[in-house]
Amino acid sequence: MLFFSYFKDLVGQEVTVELKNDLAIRGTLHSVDQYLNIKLENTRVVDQDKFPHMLSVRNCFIRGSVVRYVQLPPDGVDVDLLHDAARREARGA
Amino acid sequence: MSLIHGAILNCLITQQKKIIVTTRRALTLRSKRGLHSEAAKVFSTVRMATTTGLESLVDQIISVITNDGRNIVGVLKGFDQATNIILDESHERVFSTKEGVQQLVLGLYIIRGDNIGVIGELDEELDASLDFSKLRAHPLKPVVH
Repeated sequence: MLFFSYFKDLVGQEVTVELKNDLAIRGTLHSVDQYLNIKLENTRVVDQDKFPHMLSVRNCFIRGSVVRYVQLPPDGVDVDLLHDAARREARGA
Repeated sequence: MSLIHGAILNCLITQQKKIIVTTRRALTLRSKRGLHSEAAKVFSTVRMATTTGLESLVDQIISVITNDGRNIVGVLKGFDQATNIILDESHERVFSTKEGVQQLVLGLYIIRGDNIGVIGELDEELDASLDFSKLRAHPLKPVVH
């Protein structure tokens, strides 16, 4: 549940989601659920010339199972907080 | 909860736009059959789905990218928590580098959630402004886990 809470805190931030088919979609994080499915708003595909498959899509739902990376804004990561939370989770607290 | 059952439940919910009311109805229906715990589960799933689910897309045109790289466009009629979806009046858009985008009519489709990558809300205005006969691209690669 750690990363679920973590992503919930990132709602509203601009992220780039790279998928397991090499497609990369940038947009504003709208919501995340327990499966880490991601909803993005104001989306654009990073390389639109190579991937014109989503030209008419502005809002999308990405299934958690196809996500390879989520690129975060640098100020969206509080490393110390994440460290603490990870330790707490590992202890089972 | 079966796919169709869930899909119908979701259809109901979204059409009526009264999520809690409908869920309560589902709760009563189910508790009559002695399915309290399952109903409670459904209730929590549905409540969560108000922010993260697909109900805002029901009866809208969506573009689905499947794990094998296909792009299917159609009207979303139903879905469930495994992202299984029911698409009506659907067609496939076939991208190639040799010619423009071909459209294959598919009709009513159920797509199993496992095979779904992205579900995009299609902006009809934007879509109408595109000239698909001139659009050339490699088909998307399949998803590699």
